[in-house]
Amino acid sequence: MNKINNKLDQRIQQIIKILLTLAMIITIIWIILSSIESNIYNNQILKTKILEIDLLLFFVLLILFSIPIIRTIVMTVTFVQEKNYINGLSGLIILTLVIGLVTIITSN
Amino acid sequence: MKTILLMNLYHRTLEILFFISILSTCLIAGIIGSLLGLGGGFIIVPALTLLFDIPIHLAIGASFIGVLVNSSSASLVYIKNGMTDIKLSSILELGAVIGAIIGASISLTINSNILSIIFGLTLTYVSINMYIKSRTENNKTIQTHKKSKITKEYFKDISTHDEKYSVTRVKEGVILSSIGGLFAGLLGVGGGVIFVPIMNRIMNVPIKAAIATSSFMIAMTSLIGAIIFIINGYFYAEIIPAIILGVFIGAQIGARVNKIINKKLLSNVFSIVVIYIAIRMLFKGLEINLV
Repeated sequence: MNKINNKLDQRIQQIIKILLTLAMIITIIWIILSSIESNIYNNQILKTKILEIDLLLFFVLLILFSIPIIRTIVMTVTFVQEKNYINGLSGLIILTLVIGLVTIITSN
Repeated sequence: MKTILLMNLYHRTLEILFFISILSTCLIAGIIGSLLGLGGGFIIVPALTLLFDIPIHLAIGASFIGVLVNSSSASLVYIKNGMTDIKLSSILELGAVIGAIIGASISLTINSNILSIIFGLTLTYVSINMYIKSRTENNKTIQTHKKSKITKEYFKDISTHDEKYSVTRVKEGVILSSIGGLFAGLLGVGGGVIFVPIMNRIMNVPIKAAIATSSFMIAMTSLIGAIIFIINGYFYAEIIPAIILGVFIGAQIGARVNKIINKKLLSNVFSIVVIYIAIRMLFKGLEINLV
């Protein structure tokens, strides 16, 4: 049981590390591009918007928001594999709540 | 032509200064949050509202993102040291998430003055709690070694401290963590000030494991808050990069200077600072102007 848990710990740590690093790199790129506004190509990147949010900032938020979601998916799958259904079910309910929340708010 | 260029230069300088000020504030929030096991929201929200005059709802929306970064960054260190109880967090998150949804939804409907008053009162509690904790921390560590009912599923070996514990009163923990989630969603904070005592005092989790697990859970509650606030339009895009970068660098510095800082002294000093911020927030809520 402990070995599986250590494996889960390591996997979650790797996920957070990769996503956080990626988010920081894009944030720094966004800051640099915003500071050199004169370049026409930079303006194209900065002017592109998704849901009224700058393209790069949107990606940063998407990556940051995916940290708790991806780690919960990994946790839930691992718990179910371990036949630890209480924890697995809890993870599943959390994911359903998050997805449900986004769906309800965006549909309004 | 020259005047327009000068005006542009002036505006650009102001923008850069604003960015650096937000970055520095969040850097401090990240350092203190990381050192004291807080999400950083208790510094970010008052700083944005009191120093930069940003409306409290926008400050809360931005704070959620800072808290998410801080908690993820801190979790990296805690998981590496084997201090995070992932199983326990998956259970407690259930209550916390439900609480955060309710809290964030209420927060959107509350008048900014009332929100400032609630924030001020909560900060007063945080300050008193911090002061008491710094005085009684040694006694508390001894208490956590007591074992009562063994719940096998949550039995966890803390490798770095060789400290074994059994989690008790899980149902109460889930119910109470929803209160933590409610406050987190309401005020744009992590909720660690409520999650940690619940785990430590009620569920028999050692303080270090409680801080690590709370930090891990906070990412989910702040995600909920951020989604609700952003989709409802409370999103100040210009300050977000400064918050993300500032909190991340601050959390990394905090994790590295963790061992050389006198935490008791820091807690005492910070509790005084928090009381001052609490008074300022209360005055802001009551619309009393300080000279």
